[in-house]
Amino acid sequence: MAEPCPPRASLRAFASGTLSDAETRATEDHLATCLDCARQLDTITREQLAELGPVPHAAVSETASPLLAKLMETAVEGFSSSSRRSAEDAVLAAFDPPQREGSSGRFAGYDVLEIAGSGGMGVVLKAHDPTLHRDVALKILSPNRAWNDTDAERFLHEARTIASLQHDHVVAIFSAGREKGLPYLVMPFHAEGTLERQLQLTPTLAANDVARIGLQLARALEATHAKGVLHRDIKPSNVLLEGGLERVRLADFGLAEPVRTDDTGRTKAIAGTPHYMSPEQARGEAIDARSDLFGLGALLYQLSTGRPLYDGADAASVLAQASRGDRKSVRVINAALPRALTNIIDRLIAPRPQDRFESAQEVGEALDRLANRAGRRSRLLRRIVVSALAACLLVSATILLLDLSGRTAIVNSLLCQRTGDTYYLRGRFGTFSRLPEAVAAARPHEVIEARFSHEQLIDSFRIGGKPLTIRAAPGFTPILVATNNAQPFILADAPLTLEGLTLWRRTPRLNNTALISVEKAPLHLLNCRIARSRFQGQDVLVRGKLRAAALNEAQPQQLFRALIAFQQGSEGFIENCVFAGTQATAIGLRASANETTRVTMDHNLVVMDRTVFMRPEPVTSVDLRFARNVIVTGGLLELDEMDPVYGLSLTLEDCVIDRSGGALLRVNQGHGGELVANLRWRETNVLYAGAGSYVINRRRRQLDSESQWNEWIRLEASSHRQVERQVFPETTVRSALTLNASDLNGAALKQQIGGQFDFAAQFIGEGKPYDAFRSADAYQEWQKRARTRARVWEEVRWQRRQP
Amino acid sequence: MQKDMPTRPSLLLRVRDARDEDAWSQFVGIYTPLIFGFCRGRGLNETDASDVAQDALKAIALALPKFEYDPARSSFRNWLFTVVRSKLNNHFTAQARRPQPAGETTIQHFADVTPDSAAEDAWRREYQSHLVRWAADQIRREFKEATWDAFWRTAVLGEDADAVASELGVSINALYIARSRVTGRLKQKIDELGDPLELAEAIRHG
Repeated sequence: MAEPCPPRASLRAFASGTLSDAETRATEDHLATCLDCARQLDTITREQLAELGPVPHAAVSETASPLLAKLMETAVEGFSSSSRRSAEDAVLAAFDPPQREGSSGRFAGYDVLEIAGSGGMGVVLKAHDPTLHRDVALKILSPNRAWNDTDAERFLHEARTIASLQHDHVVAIFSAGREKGLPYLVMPFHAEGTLERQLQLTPTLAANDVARIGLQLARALEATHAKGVLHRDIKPSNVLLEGGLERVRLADFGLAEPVRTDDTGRTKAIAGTPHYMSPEQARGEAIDARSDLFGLGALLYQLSTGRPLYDGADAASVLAQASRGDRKSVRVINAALPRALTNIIDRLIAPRPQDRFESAQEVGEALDRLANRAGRRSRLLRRIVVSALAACLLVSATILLLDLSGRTAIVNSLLCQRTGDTYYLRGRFGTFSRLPEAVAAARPHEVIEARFSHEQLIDSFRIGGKPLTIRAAPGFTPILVATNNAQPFILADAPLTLEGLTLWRRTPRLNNTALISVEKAPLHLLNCRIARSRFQGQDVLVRGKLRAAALNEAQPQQLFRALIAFQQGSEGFIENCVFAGTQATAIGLRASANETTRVTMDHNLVVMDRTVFMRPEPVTSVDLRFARNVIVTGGLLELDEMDPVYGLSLTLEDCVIDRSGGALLRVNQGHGGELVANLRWRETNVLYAGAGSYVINRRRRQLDSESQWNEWIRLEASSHRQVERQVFPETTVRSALTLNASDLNGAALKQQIGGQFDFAAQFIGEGKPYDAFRSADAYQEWQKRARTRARVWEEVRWQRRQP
Repeated sequence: MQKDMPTRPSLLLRVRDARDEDAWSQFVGIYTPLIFGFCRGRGLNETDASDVAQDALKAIALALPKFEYDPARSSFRNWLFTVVRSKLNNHFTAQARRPQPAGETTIQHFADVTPDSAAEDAWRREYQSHLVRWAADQIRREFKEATWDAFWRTAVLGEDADAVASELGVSINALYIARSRVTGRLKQKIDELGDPLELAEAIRHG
């Protein structure tokens, strides 16, 4: 035997992987030839296996079910979004009241316009500088980090670093400071967004674009490295676009820190995004400028191949890959790339720092040569592309007038015209003929736009756990007609926003399920028209029906006839909408199990025989808020099966309620005595119009006198006013219900009811109700503001749910 | 070769930091199927099992930052079991309160039908084998197919080592080395979670 056998202890060390590389190789060489030692090693292996216990044959995923997958998805998503949202929410809490139309608040003297994004370190706001009259980006350190000295210091370090670099390809900085303890900095607002957003549209860029972006970023790194600062986190979302892909700027030096020249060894925490991280950084070793070159290489790799350098699904496996230096050559993936470019990228992503370029300057020179060579050829090509595009634009000039907000919208509009499809996902190319297909294809938080103005028959569908927005493309008024009576038309099991849509059933029946069923998620309904059916208006004597419905015995299925059913723990925010229909309820609430159900109605027109129907179960918490609504109804609130232990809060502000001969409140069981103990009815500036009762209980005992009502419900007499006059004459109610396709812009309706609204508006004052149909400009502006508002509201709601 | 890798904080430590979203996502990926499977094994249908698993996950997410990791005093496995058992009990309690169809036996509390020790044994077994299987899935791609086969066929499927070696065209020494490398990595993968001692103990007592 050439070598002596290693001691058993060193075999153990080999088995547990604690030997050095050299020792491991030596031991392995020995084991390959010495059967005795190999057997001994296997004894150790078997001990180890016995400790682990039997290894099941089936993979974990093989025992999975769709419900389990869904559960895991929501658990992960809910958690991540909650921490992001709570950061945004805390920033929102630091706002001062707005001083400008369209602003959501003031921060450090800037008018905040909207949340532009949020990440690990904080929240980025789009804001307006009132002094210099320009839009700026406010980056505010997340409050839960602002109290951490390391984070706050790092954040302000970013400010100092950027401020000290005045460079064409490094983001500029206007000022920095602290407001209410939150460190913030002010940068120019880059309306074009980041390279990451561009990659969502076009995952792969042309070789000359890659070279040019690489060159500009190399120049930026050259400047930062000269200041002794590493970026450490180069990735598409940190690259800002200017003039399309022509010009880029490197941003977000939040993770940057001074280069260590004394080689003190490992840094404590691994900072950076794993997909673009150098092996030495992933291993937590000391890094130098060449680590940033690797990051640049990883970025260029993705731009040229359309895929990240590492393909690991989670951070752990990316880290493992990165630290081993696993990668595929660029040319293997995209053989069409010029060799000069792939050579540069391959050299940048060399696992060993010494195999990379020496400096960012050297990279810049290499890319400069390449860009100059490619530039001559591409200029001619670009001229051809530009003239072709101009021709396209001419053809679609009408569409362009309606939406200038993104080139995908333009292309998708053209595609819709060509294919006859009616839906597309905002920011992505491609169209869909059917809404469920678009919903299935959408990624979480995407926006589906409907580009048609007629009736479209649609089967039931569910959102499928993805937060989504479905809205009318600007200038269009789509009508979604539900064909399936057995199931909710839309099952919203994730945050859903509907904007500018009209929804009704093709053939409504008495036992219909809800049009929209909301399951433990927030629903935003903005500028929509929801009706039981389009033919409602042809029913005669609507008012009589409203009254009859109000006086009828309780109908247990009422909940399911609601146009929108909120399951327990759901929340709704309904603004600027019309609800219409008889033999139906606008809002159905199923409430129980400690989870508060909240519905806010702001600026709506409701013409329904019942407005809210609720069946409380033990331990219920419901919060209903009506502000600036005009409600023509046989019953504002109907409570079924009273249970003594629940809390119901109803707030009415600036509302006109026309009871149409019905009652405000209907209680199907008991006397209402227990009810009043648990019902918090609050109102300010409410007009009870038309004749009718206040309360009807099961035994048809009616409470018709205003003073009795005040006493019973414990109201100040001044909180409301009572007039005999009806808000709308019969014909008006009927036309509100006739939401047919021939009156898409609501002109006829507006003409008919305009005078009545003046009456309502006179009472309500400034907050004029129901003004859904506005000029195109006003509509766009309204949409923009509604989105900002909705988003702020969403933060608050989700935050409430957080422990 | 693994010596140069920095010691990363274990998953159970990382997951206590609410900002570490990767840790939470990994945690959910590993432990949710275990809890779900355990509930299914206690006779719950998929819907109920996913409800209970969700309740348990919620409770865990809220309690994790407060969970004191001290292997000498209490194990994560036992703590997790306490949470899951309590959620299962809640489920059975709620179910018992709901009216049952006539003629069907009323389902009793989980605690009444399953003695604690039996449930705990089942939990220990399932916990153990779940984590091992999870780790095996995780490291599968790190090895060449022949290395993996050498391990899988002999250590898991129980095939004869000599036969497998000759079929794979490698020496028995090479097979033993392959088996050792995969097993060592498997152990290491489980150690990364942060509850290694408990696993060894579980087998000795269980």
